[in-house]
Amino acid sequence: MSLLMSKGKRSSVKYSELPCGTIVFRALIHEHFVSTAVGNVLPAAFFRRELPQDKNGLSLGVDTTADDYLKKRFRKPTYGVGTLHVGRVRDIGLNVVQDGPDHASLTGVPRKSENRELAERTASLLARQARWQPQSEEPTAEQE
Amino acid sequence: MTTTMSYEENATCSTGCGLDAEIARARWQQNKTADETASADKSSTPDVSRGVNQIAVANIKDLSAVVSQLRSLWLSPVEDHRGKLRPVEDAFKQAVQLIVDGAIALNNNHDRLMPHGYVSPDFEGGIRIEWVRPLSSIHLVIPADATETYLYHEEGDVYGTDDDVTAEGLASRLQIIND
Repeated sequence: MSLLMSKGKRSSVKYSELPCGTIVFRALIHEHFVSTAVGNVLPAAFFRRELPQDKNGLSLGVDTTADDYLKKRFRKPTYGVGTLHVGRVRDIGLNVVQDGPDHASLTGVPRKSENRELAERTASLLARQARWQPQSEEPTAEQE
Repeated sequence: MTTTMSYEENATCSTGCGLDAEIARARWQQNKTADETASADKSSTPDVSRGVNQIAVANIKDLSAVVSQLRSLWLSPVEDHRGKLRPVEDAFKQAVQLIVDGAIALNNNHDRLMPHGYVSPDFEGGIRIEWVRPLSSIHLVIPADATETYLYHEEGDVYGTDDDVTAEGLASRLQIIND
Protein backbone atom coordinates (compact mmCIF):
# COMPACT_ATOMS: atom_id res chain seq x y z
CA MET A 1 0.00 0.00 0.00
CA SER A 2 1.48 3.29 -1.01
CA LEU A 3 -0.82 5.53 1.05
CA LEU A 4 1.17 8.24 2.85
CA MET A 5 -1.56 10.09 4.69
CA SER A 6 -5.25 10.71 4.87
CA LYS A 7 -7.13 13.79 6.15
CA GLY A 8 -10.60 12.43 5.76
CA LYS A 9 -11.51 13.71 2.30
CA ARG A 10 -10.58 11.42 -0.55
CA SER A 11 -9.25 14.35 -2.56
CA SER A 12 -6.70 15.14 0.16
CA VAL A 13 -5.27 11.64 0.20
CA LYS A 14 -1.76 11.56 -1.16
CA TYR A 15 -0.14 8.50 -2.59
CA SER A 16 3.53 7.90 -3.04
CA GLU A 17 5.00 7.34 -6.48
CA LEU A 18 4.46 3.80 -7.63
CA PRO A 19 7.65 1.72 -7.84
CA CYS A 20 8.59 0.69 -11.36
CA GLY A 21 8.03 -2.95 -10.44
CA THR A 22 4.33 -2.39 -9.74
CA ILE A 23 1.82 -4.32 -11.82
CA VAL A 24 -1.34 -2.40 -12.74
CA PHE A 25 -4.25 -3.53 -14.87
CA ARG A 26 -6.66 -2.16 -17.42
CA ALA A 27 -10.21 -3.55 -17.29
CA LEU A 28 -11.29 -5.10 -20.59
CA ILE A 29 -14.98 -4.32 -20.47
CA HIS A 30 -15.69 -5.08 -24.12
CA GLU A 31 -15.22 -8.16 -26.24
CA HIS A 32 -13.60 -5.81 -28.76
CA PHE A 33 -10.67 -5.14 -26.42
CA VAL A 34 -9.14 -8.61 -26.55
CA SER A 35 -8.63 -11.47 -28.92
CA THR A 36 -9.61 -14.31 -26.65
CA ALA A 37 -8.63 -16.88 -29.26
CA VAL A 38 -5.06 -15.63 -29.47
CA GLY A 39 -4.85 -14.08 -26.00
CA ASN A 40 -3.83 -10.64 -27.22
CA VAL A 41 -5.00 -7.38 -25.72
CA LEU A 42 -5.93 -5.09 -28.62
CA PRO A 43 -5.02 -1.43 -29.16
CA ALA A 44 -8.74 -0.54 -29.00
CA ALA A 45 -8.51 -0.93 -25.21
CA PHE A 46 -6.11 2.00 -24.88
CA PHE A 47 -7.78 5.00 -26.47
CA ARG A 48 -8.48 8.03 -24.32
CA ARG A 49 -11.97 9.42 -24.76
CA GLU A 50 -12.76 13.06 -25.31
CA LEU A 51 -13.41 15.40 -22.37
CA PRO A 52 -15.10 15.33 -19.96
CA GLN A 53 -14.34 11.59 -20.00
CA ASP A 54 -10.93 10.19 -19.09
CA LYS A 55 -10.03 13.60 -17.67
CA ASN A 56 -7.03 12.33 -15.71
CA GLY A 57 -6.01 9.61 -18.15
CA LEU A 58 -6.94 5.96 -18.62
CA SER A 59 -8.36 4.15 -15.59
CA LEU A 60 -6.27 1.38 -14.10
CA GLY A 61 -6.54 -0.92 -11.10
CA VAL A 62 -3.75 -1.09 -8.53
CA ASP A 63 -3.08 -2.43 -5.04
CA THR A 64 -5.73 -5.12 -5.30
CA THR A 65 -6.35 -8.27 -7.25
CA ALA A 66 -7.79 -8.02 -10.71
CA ASP A 67 -10.81 -10.09 -9.73
CA ASP A 68 -11.56 -7.93 -6.69
CA TYR A 69 -11.19 -4.78 -8.79
CA LEU A 70 -13.54 -6.07 -11.47
CA LYS A 71 -16.08 -7.36 -8.93
CA LYS A 72 -16.14 -4.02 -7.15
CA ARG A 73 -16.39 -1.78 -10.20
CA PHE A 74 -18.32 -3.67 -12.85
CA ARG A 75 -21.77 -5.13 -12.56
CA LYS A 76 -21.58 -7.13 -15.76
CA PRO A 77 -19.00 -9.79 -16.60
CA THR A 78 -15.89 -8.40 -18.23
CA TYR A 79 -13.27 -9.91 -20.49
CA GLY A 80 -10.65 -9.72 -17.77
CA VAL A 81 -7.78 -7.31 -17.58
CA GLY A 82 -4.64 -6.39 -19.42
CA THR A 83 -1.77 -6.23 -16.95
CA LEU A 84 0.94 -3.61 -17.35
CA HIS A 85 4.34 -3.17 -15.73
CA VAL A 86 4.73 0.43 -14.51
CA GLY A 87 8.42 0.56 -15.38
CA ARG A 88 7.79 -0.43 -18.97
CA VAL A 89 4.96 2.10 -19.24
CA ARG A 90 7.43 4.78 -18.12
CA ASP A 91 9.90 3.54 -20.72
CA ILE A 92 7.56 4.77 -23.46
CA GLY A 93 7.15 8.22 -21.91
CA LEU A 94 3.91 7.68 -20.01
CA ASN A 95 3.29 7.45 -16.27
CA VAL A 96 1.00 5.73 -13.81
CA VAL A 97 -0.24 7.81 -10.87
CA GLN A 98 -2.18 6.27 -8.02
CA ASP A 99 -5.24 8.38 -7.14
CA GLY A 100 -7.37 6.03 -5.09
CA PRO A 101 -7.01 3.03 -2.79
CA ASP A 102 -7.38 0.65 -5.72
CA HIS A 103 -7.26 3.05 -8.66
CA ALA A 104 -4.57 4.70 -10.74
CA SER A 105 -4.51 6.85 -13.89
CA LEU A 106 -2.36 6.21 -16.91
CA THR A 107 -1.21 9.72 -17.75
CA GLY A 108 0.35 11.20 -20.85
CA VAL A 109 -1.90 9.31 -23.28
CA PRO A 110 -2.84 11.67 -26.13
CA ARG A 111 -6.39 11.83 -27.43
CA LYS A 112 -6.99 11.23 -31.14
CA SER A 113 -8.22 14.81 -31.45
CA GLU A 114 -4.85 16.02 -30.15
CA ASN A 115 -2.55 13.80 -32.21
CA ARG A 116 -4.17 10.83 -33.91
CA GLU A 117 -0.88 9.30 -35.10
CA LEU A 118 0.63 9.41 -31.63
CA ALA A 119 -2.64 8.17 -30.11
CA GLU A 120 -2.55 5.14 -32.43
CA ARG A 121 1.14 4.52 -31.69
CA THR A 122 0.60 4.80 -27.94
CA ALA A 123 -2.35 2.41 -28.03
CA SER A 124 -0.33 -0.04 -30.09
CA LEU A 125 2.65 0.05 -27.71
CA LEU A 126 0.44 -0.36 -24.64
CA ALA A 127 -1.40 -3.28 -26.24
CA ARG A 128 1.92 -4.97 -27.04
CA GLN A 129 3.00 -4.58 -23.42
CA ALA A 130 -0.26 -5.77 -21.90
CA ARG A 131 -0.75 -9.37 -20.89
CA TRP A 132 -4.25 -10.74 -20.91
CA GLN A 133 -5.66 -12.18 -17.69
CA PRO A 134 -9.23 -13.49 -17.96
CA GLN A 135 -11.73 -12.77 -15.20
CA SER A 136 -11.98 -15.85 -13.03
CA GLU A 137 -14.98 -14.96 -10.90
CA GLU A 138 -18.47 -13.73 -11.59
CA PRO A 139 -18.93 -10.05 -10.77
CA THR A 140 -21.27 -9.18 -7.89
CA ALA A 141 -20.72 -5.45 -7.47
CA GLU A 142 -23.50 -2.90 -7.35
CA GLN A 143 -21.62 -0.15 -9.08
CA GLU A 144 -19.84 0.29 -12.32
CA MET B 1 -24.73 0.38 -58.91
CA THR B 2 -24.51 -2.87 -60.81
CA THR B 3 -27.98 -4.13 -60.12
CA THR B 4 -28.56 -5.03 -63.75
CA MET B 5 -25.40 -7.13 -63.97
CA SER B 6 -25.39 -10.78 -63.13
CA TYR B 7 -22.74 -11.83 -60.68
CA GLU B 8 -21.20 -14.11 -63.27
CA GLU B 9 -20.12 -10.99 -65.19
CA ASN B 10 -17.87 -10.04 -62.28
CA ALA B 11 -16.78 -13.55 -61.46
CA THR B 12 -13.41 -13.55 -63.11
CA CYS B 13 -10.60 -15.10 -61.12
CA SER B 14 -7.16 -15.38 -62.59
CA THR B 15 -5.98 -17.80 -59.93
CA GLY B 16 -8.99 -20.06 -60.11
CA CYS B 17 -9.38 -19.98 -56.33
CA GLY B 18 -13.01 -18.91 -56.46
CA LEU B 19 -12.47 -15.85 -54.29
CA ASP B 20 -13.51 -13.34 -56.93
CA ALA B 21 -16.52 -15.42 -57.82
CA GLU B 22 -17.67 -15.63 -54.21
CA ILE B 23 -17.15 -11.92 -53.64
CA ALA B 24 -18.79 -10.97 -56.92
CA ARG B 25 -21.79 -13.13 -56.12
CA ALA B 26 -22.13 -11.58 -52.68
CA ARG B 27 -21.69 -8.03 -53.99
CA TRP B 28 -24.25 -8.61 -56.71
CA GLN B 29 -26.72 -9.75 -54.09
CA GLN B 30 -25.83 -6.75 -51.93
CA ASN B 31 -26.51 -4.33 -54.76
CA LYS B 32 -29.70 -6.14 -55.62
CA THR B 33 -31.09 -5.54 -52.15
CA ALA B 34 -29.64 -2.07 -51.57
CA ASP B 35 -32.91 -0.29 -52.26
CA GLU B 36 -34.71 -2.50 -49.76
CA THR B 37 -32.23 -1.79 -46.99
CA ALA B 38 -32.08 1.94 -47.70
CA SER B 39 -35.60 2.40 -46.41
CA ALA B 40 -35.10 0.41 -43.23
CA ASP B 41 -36.35 1.91 -39.98
CA LYS B 42 -33.25 3.48 -38.39
CA SER B 43 -34.63 3.30 -34.85
CA SER B 44 -35.09 -0.46 -34.84
CA THR B 45 -32.59 -3.22 -35.35
CA PRO B 46 -30.94 -2.31 -38.65
CA ASP B 47 -31.24 -4.52 -41.67
CA VAL B 48 -28.24 -6.30 -43.11
CA SER B 49 -28.03 -6.67 -46.86
CA ARG B 50 -28.02 -10.18 -48.24
CA GLY B 51 -24.58 -9.56 -49.71
CA VAL B 52 -23.06 -8.79 -46.32
CA ASN B 53 -24.74 -11.85 -44.85
CA GLN B 54 -23.45 -14.03 -47.67
CA ILE B 55 -19.86 -12.86 -47.34
CA ALA B 56 -20.06 -13.24 -43.57
CA VAL B 57 -20.95 -16.93 -43.84
CA ALA B 58 -19.11 -17.80 -47.07
CA ASN B 59 -16.01 -18.95 -45.16
CA ILE B 60 -13.70 -16.96 -47.41
CA LYS B 61 -10.48 -16.90 -45.42
CA ASP B 62 -10.28 -14.42 -43.58
CA LEU B 63 -12.60 -11.99 -45.32
CA SER B 64 -15.71 -13.65 -43.95
CA ALA B 65 -14.48 -13.36 -40.35
CA VAL B 66 -13.94 -9.60 -40.70
CA VAL B 67 -17.27 -9.02 -42.46
CA SER B 68 -19.00 -11.17 -39.85
CA GLN B 69 -17.60 -8.92 -37.11
CA LEU B 70 -18.76 -5.84 -39.00
CA ARG B 71 -22.22 -7.35 -39.26
CA SER B 72 -22.26 -8.08 -35.53
CA LEU B 73 -21.30 -4.50 -34.77
CA TRP B 74 -24.02 -3.20 -37.09
CA LEU B 75 -26.56 -5.36 -35.24
CA SER B 76 -25.32 -4.43 -31.76
CA PRO B 77 -27.22 -2.16 -29.35
CA VAL B 78 -27.04 1.51 -30.28
CA GLU B 79 -24.93 2.39 -27.25
CA ASP B 80 -23.81 1.35 -23.80
CA HIS B 81 -22.36 3.19 -20.82
CA ARG B 82 -19.05 3.77 -22.64
CA GLY B 83 -20.54 5.30 -25.77
CA LYS B 84 -21.97 4.45 -29.17
CA LEU B 85 -21.59 0.82 -30.19
CA ARG B 86 -23.51 0.70 -33.45
CA PRO B 87 -21.72 2.59 -36.22
CA VAL B 88 -23.47 5.17 -38.35
CA GLU B 89 -24.60 3.84 -41.71
CA ASP B 90 -21.97 5.70 -43.77
CA ALA B 91 -19.14 4.26 -41.66
CA PHE B 92 -20.56 0.75 -41.87
CA LYS B 93 -20.98 0.91 -45.64
CA GLN B 94 -17.50 2.33 -46.16
CA ALA B 95 -15.98 -0.35 -43.93
CA VAL B 96 -17.66 -3.17 -45.87
CA GLN B 97 -16.70 -1.58 -49.19
CA LEU B 98 -13.05 -1.12 -48.22
CA ILE B 99 -12.74 -4.62 -46.79
CA VAL B 100 -14.36 -6.38 -49.75
CA ASP B 101 -12.57 -4.28 -52.38
CA GLY B 102 -9.37 -4.55 -50.37
CA ALA B 103 -9.64 -8.35 -50.40
CA ILE B 104 -10.08 -8.29 -54.17
CA ALA B 105 -7.08 -5.98 -54.58
CA LEU B 106 -4.99 -8.18 -52.29
CA ASN B 107 -5.89 -11.20 -54.37
CA ASN B 108 -5.46 -9.59 -57.77
CA ASN B 109 -2.43 -7.38 -57.12
CA HIS B 110 -0.50 -9.24 -54.44
CA ASP B 111 -1.74 -12.85 -54.62
CA ARG B 112 -2.69 -12.64 -50.96
CA LEU B 113 -5.81 -13.30 -48.93
CA MET B 114 -7.33 -10.89 -46.42
CA PRO B 115 -5.56 -11.48 -43.08
CA HIS B 116 -7.54 -11.89 -39.89
CA GLY B 117 -8.42 -8.57 -38.29
CA TYR B 118 -10.38 -7.38 -35.29
CA VAL B 119 -13.36 -5.05 -35.56
CA SER B 120 -14.31 -2.70 -32.74
CA PRO B 121 -16.43 0.42 -32.25
CA ASP B 122 -14.73 3.75 -31.60
CA PHE B 123 -17.66 4.55 -29.28
CA GLU B 124 -18.41 7.69 -31.33
CA GLY B 125 -20.31 6.03 -34.17
CA GLY B 126 -17.24 4.91 -36.08
CA ILE B 127 -15.43 1.64 -36.70
CA ARG B 128 -11.90 0.42 -36.08
CA ILE B 129 -10.39 -2.63 -37.76
CA GLU B 130 -7.04 -3.69 -36.33
CA TRP B 131 -4.58 -6.18 -37.77
CA VAL B 132 -2.05 -6.85 -35.05
CA ARG B 133 1.02 -9.04 -35.39
CA PRO B 134 4.19 -9.30 -33.27
CA LEU B 135 6.21 -6.87 -35.39
CA SER B 136 3.62 -4.98 -37.39
CA SER B 137 0.17 -3.45 -37.14
CA ILE B 138 -2.40 -1.87 -39.39
CA HIS B 139 -5.35 0.09 -38.01
CA LEU B 140 -8.14 1.08 -40.40
CA VAL B 141 -10.06 3.87 -38.69
CA ILE B 142 -13.43 4.93 -40.09
CA PRO B 143 -14.96 7.69 -37.92
CA ALA B 144 -18.63 8.58 -37.93
CA ASP B 145 -17.66 11.23 -40.45
CA ALA B 146 -16.37 8.72 -42.99
CA THR B 147 -14.58 11.46 -44.93
CA GLU B 148 -11.99 11.47 -42.13
CA THR B 149 -11.02 7.83 -42.60
CA TYR B 150 -7.34 7.07 -42.14
CA LEU B 151 -4.97 4.13 -42.05
CA TYR B 152 -2.32 3.73 -39.36
CA HIS B 153 0.61 1.52 -40.27
CA GLU B 154 3.45 0.35 -38.06
CA GLU B 155 6.42 -1.88 -38.71
CA GLY B 156 8.87 -2.01 -35.82
CA ASP B 157 9.66 1.55 -34.82
CA VAL B 158 8.49 3.03 -38.12
CA TYR B 159 4.91 4.24 -38.16
CA GLY B 160 2.63 6.74 -39.84
CA THR B 161 -0.86 7.40 -41.13
CA ASP B 162 -2.38 7.57 -44.61
CA ASP B 163 -5.30 9.80 -45.54
CA ASP B 164 -7.55 9.23 -48.56
CA VAL B 165 -7.71 5.50 -47.94
CA THR B 166 -8.43 3.36 -50.99
CA ALA B 167 -8.90 -0.39 -51.35
CA GLU B 168 -5.63 -0.58 -53.28
CA GLY B 169 -3.84 1.42 -50.59
CA LEU B 170 -5.25 -0.82 -47.87
CA ALA B 171 -4.18 -3.92 -49.78
CA SER B 172 -0.69 -2.55 -50.24
CA ARG B 173 -0.27 -1.78 -46.55
CA LEU B 174 -1.72 -5.15 -45.51
CA GLN B 175 1.21 -6.89 -47.16
CA ILE B 176 3.21 -6.37 -43.94
CA ILE B 177 0.66 -8.44 -42.01
CA ASN B 178 1.71 -12.06 -42.00
CA ASP B 179 -0.35 -15.00 -40.84
